[in-house]
Amino acid sequence: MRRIIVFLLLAVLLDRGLGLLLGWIQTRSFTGDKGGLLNYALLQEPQILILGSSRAQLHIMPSVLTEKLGLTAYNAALKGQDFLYAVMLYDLWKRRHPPPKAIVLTIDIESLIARESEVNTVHLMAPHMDESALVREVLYSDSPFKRFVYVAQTYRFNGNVLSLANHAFRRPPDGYDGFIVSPGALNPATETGVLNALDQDRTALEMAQVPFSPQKLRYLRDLAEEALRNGTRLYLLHTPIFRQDESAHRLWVDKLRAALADMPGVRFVDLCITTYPAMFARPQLYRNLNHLNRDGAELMSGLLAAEIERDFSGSP
Amino acid sequence: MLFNSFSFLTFFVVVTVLFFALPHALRWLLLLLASCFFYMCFVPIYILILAVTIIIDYVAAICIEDTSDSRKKELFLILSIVSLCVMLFVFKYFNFFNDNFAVLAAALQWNYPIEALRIALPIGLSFHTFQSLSYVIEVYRGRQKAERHFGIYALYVMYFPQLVAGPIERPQNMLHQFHERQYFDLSRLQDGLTLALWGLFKKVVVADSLAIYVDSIFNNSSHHNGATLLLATYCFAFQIYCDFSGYSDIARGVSRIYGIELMKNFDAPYFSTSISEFWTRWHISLSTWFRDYVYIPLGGNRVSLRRHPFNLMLVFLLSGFWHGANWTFIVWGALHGTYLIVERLWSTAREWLGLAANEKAGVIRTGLSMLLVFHLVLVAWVFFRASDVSTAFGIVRRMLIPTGPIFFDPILVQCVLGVAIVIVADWWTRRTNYWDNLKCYPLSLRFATCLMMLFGISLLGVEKGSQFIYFQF
Repeated sequence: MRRIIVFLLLAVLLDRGLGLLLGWIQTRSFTGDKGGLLNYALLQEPQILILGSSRAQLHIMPSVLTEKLGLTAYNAALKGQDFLYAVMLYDLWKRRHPPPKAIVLTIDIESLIARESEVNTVHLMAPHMDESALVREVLYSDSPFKRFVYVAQTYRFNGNVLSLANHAFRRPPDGYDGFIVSPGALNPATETGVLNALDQDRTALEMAQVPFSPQKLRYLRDLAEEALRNGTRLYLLHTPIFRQDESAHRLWVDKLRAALADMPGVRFVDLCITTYPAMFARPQLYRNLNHLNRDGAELMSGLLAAEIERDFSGSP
Repeated sequence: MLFNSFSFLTFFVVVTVLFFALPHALRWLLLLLASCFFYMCFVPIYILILAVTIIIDYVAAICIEDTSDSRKKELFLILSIVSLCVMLFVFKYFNFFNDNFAVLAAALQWNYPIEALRIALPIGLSFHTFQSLSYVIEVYRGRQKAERHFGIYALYVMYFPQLVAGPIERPQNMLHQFHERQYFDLSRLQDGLTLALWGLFKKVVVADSLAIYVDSIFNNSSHHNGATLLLATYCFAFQIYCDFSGYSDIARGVSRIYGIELMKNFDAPYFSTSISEFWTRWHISLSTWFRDYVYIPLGGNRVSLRRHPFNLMLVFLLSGFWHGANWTFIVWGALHGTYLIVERLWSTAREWLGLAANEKAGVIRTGLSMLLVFHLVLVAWVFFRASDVSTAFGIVRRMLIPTGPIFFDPILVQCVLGVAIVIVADWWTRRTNYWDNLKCYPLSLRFATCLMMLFGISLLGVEKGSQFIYFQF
């Protein structure tokens, strides 16, 4: 029995020690999708904060917003992530900085529905879980066992260790604003599918019919109320998709507008092939079905800047 | 409920505590109820298939034992075998034969009206069917007394650590252990947990990370070049090994805690220097099953030189077909059968020519033999993994010219690290049998290996990884 107690003590001590070491390295690393870019985003203090998935990271150029609006902007979106990552990141960010003038949060057909895969991807937030009740709530929602598993400090770095070793103590180049240039152009002949977005198992129409997750709506409502209190403009932005399913889009927009009815101050900006058919039907603006290339991103960012400018100036 | 899930961990803790808290007379009941619950976590209704299997064989074995008429004994045996095979056929093989008949009928322009059955394959069907068969055959051969305690017999078929993916146990090894009184033994608990931890490490750190790369390549094989396909096949060879041997080790470790020893199912198979040696080290419980109940009854190797290859090929074709109702598994079995026939012919030819039969193989020759055997097995794995035979042939063709840049995924770093650990551990343990002789090693070494595995799982384990590959069989 004594041996088992010694073993358990040793395991706990090692877990704490390794956890501290990894945490120390993690907080000093600022590149990589597994937490480094999250750290870097937390250091920024822009006037316009951009949040969302790869469809924000590759579509919104902060430099264009700065040029047209005269406001600093930072793109804190991350590929492979979506709504939950955005609200968790903002919850951490607001503890460090004064409220921004505007938040641009990209939103897609699957963003507000409950998806198990999305909860798995936000595990990279685990090193920050002691800072925020919201981060803990989302991470614990994965399974009833998570509350106990996260007691292990090393588990918070599960799946991130090799990436951490690769990105340890590295910083992005000067002037990095979070936007990732997506090169190349879509060839409609080879890209024959219709968008299934991030959830490859369901069609857009199926996803449009799924009710929004009450948990996500609550997070959105909290964010909207906080933005209203702080005088922050909150924009929910839908960006272009090549060969968008029109009926699914219509259904989703109706559902979204109904959900936003009791969230004052939230502006839904729909910059897609439905609202700008002549502009976004051109394949040369895309890299693939889901993502714009640099030219597309520049055009889209210009349109977004115009929308924000119009809203700031109070014109309809 | 998968072994690599937190729900299994909770289940295991509850069952273990109750097991040692209950008196011996009630333990079989606890294990049986736990096994029923475990199985019903997959598809509840399929417990009825198990129940039917158990009842048939329980009754058949008692009838066989109670009658002195050899013809009646044979009749009961045949009835039992046929009824089990019918169940196996309906749930596992009907659609395969039906599809092939439909294709044949279409080619001959015949009207073939029978539609496919829309039923899911019960988990572990082939495993518990074979375990049941071995019991009835052993009773028929007089090497095992029929079990009169229905609950103990049901537990023999349903024992949860090995219910869904083996090892396929023999009644001589298992039944008496269920009757024996077990006492709580701390060192047995430590040994069992260590072995289970090693199995879990192989599954969640190595096999599941390899699965990410393998699936991404094999699911889009037409988009990848020969070099990438070759790398993915190497990865699959270790994925299936770590996945299945990981399961077996967890099963053995868990069972050891209850004082019930399950047979070893893997013994460093990739260090085999011949195909016949490979089959004494890979899925040992299945290969010995086919040896004892198919190969030897066919005459084994005490048959004419012409008949022997036929026996070998038949056994391996059946072994392939046991895995799944798909031509890919049949080709996989045929390939192994061919390897073994060629190996036996080569060995006979060497003996006939008087070529150094007793010569001790040097290090280089042993190494080259291992590499050759591994690569022969590797080619067969392509058929095991590919979705259909033509895809498999396409992959093999491109693999033979492994050119082009390798498709890199960051997970490969973890894969290489994991495979290296498994190779080193296997190389060392194949001589020392470390996992079964833990007491012989210093405490510091045991602590170090356990902590390494524990933190390996915590830091590198793939959460919500794939299901165990052999569950589908």
